[in-house]
Amino acid sequence: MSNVVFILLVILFFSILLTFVVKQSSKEYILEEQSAKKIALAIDAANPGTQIYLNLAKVLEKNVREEPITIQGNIVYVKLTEKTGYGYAFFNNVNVEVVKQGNGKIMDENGGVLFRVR
Amino acid sequence: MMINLKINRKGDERVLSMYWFILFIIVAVAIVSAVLIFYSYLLDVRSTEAGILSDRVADCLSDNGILNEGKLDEAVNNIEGACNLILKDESKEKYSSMKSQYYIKVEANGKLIESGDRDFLAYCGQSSKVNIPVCFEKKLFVLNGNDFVPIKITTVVRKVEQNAKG
Repeated sequence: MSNVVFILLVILFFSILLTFVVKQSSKEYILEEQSAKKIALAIDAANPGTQIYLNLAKVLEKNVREEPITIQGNIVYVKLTEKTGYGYAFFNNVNVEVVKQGNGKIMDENGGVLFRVR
Repeated sequence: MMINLKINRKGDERVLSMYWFILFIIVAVAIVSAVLIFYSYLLDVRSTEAGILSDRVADCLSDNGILNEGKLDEAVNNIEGACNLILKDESKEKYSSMKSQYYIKVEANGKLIESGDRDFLAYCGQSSKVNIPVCFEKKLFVLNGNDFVPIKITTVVRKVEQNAKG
């Protein structure tokens, strides 16, 4: 009996640790920073006429806002919650549009977001 | 004799569970602190950014491996306009008061082109890569008539607050 309790406790202990590690890696502020930098670098490397398709499903599942990704001037802003947010600048002098899908949202059914560089 | 044996066994179990308890605490503390330290570091993309910037400058000043002299002359006066770049970064309040977060230096065909904050150049070649601007150097040869002309591009990206733990 004590062996069963011990094994259950071990499983519980490692489950808690695993949950902590997974939760820590998907914190909003980390996802915002990563995705803002990823988008900015993709824009930096793009020529006018390019369409960039990024899979941001993992990021946007945390989103509670109407427009989580905005581009103002040469800065990419990713803001998933009201309290957090991250902006990163790109040096490529182009106009970038975050394309809205048919459902009025920026993310399509596969979790992808389309950026149009002009 | 039998009673003594039972007491010893219980004692062993207690010592063993105590040992497990301490071991679990050590494992938990190690994993939690490792994860917290790992995620407290910012994602440093400056070397990639500096590389892309030098690629853009190289693409701008040469066309299919041939030196674009018109662009080079235009870039001497204004590389931002000639190569379609924005070297002003206002993504952080602190950056607004600074000249730039970038520096570009191009040496080509006997001409010198500079843009951004020249002070960042002093950090190039330093062994420490923490909390200082990141440099990238690119050398290429392009055709100018029948001659090969070397182009040396140095790009520096600061953005310390956004990419390095400070």
